[in-house]
Amino acid sequence: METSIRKEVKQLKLQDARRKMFDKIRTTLNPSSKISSFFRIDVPSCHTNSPIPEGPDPKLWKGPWKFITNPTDITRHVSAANHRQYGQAKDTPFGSEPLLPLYGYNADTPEADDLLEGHLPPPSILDNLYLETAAILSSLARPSPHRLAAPTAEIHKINLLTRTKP
Amino acid sequence: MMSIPYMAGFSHPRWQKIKDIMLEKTPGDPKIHRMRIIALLESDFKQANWLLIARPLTWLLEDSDMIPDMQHGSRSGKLCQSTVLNKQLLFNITRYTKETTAFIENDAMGCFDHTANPLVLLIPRRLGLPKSIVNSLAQTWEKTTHLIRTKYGISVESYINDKLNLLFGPGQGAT
Repeated sequence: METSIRKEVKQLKLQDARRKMFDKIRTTLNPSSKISSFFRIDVPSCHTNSPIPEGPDPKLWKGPWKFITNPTDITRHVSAANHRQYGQAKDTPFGSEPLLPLYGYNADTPEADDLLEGHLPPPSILDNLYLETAAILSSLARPSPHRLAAPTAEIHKINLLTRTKP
Repeated sequence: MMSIPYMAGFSHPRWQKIKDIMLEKTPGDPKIHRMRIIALLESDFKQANWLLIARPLTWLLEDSDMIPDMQHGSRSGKLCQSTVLNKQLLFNITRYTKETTAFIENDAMGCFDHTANPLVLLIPRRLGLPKSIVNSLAQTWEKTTHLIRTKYGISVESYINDKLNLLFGPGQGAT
């Protein structure tokens, strides 16, 4: 058992080293490949260098633009923009109260299990939802006529060799 | 070894590091709001998701005719370009035959970015996906650290999910 674990760890290290080597070769041969050619961004030129929410909203900005190439500044602006981009679902019914705290961000609360077993949320919540949202909940509470067979056999097909992709 | 997170319902720490790259939507115009985020995930995580989630669910949906005919994207044997071709041909035929046609086009704008996690995670469970697999996926999304990849390399700074500013969805390029 221990020998096989040691073998697997060694194999993993080898694969990692190979992946890094291929990455290095690819970058050396093609330094301006499309995937890594992002080196500057244009941001609103205003009194502050801060990104949103302190700085102006680029989507609404009508003034001049400036480009930045400093890696730290790029990361700051891109992080702020991406955070906003990935947070757009916060205003959707399942991304906001009352359904988000009820079912949990990971849909792992007892209420989530109850819903899948056919129990709808209490009327105090259900009555205040959009009709479409209530219809989705009703649909989730109904058992599906078509269900997956247990995919346990598939789980064992995942092997370590899938990690390296030079 | 890779199957353990899915069987036990936890997330592998290596899977929780995503590298974001930004592509210009309009070439030559790198305005911050005109960049498309592509999330680069670990290849074994992607392959495992395909093998355990995407493929069985797609087969189930196809076998039980739960996908409408008009859906072309993300289906084997269909090309999303076919819909564009069909539309063009329909317009051509309409013009040649001088018929009156009404046409409506609905675009689910920002569809990936408006994906709320609870709903996305409940649907596969209703279709019979084991809770442990869904939990593993959910925890990976919840604990993800996003790094930015630029020409200067991979950033040291990162952004993460926090309770006040939740991040939703798997990210474009993650499916």
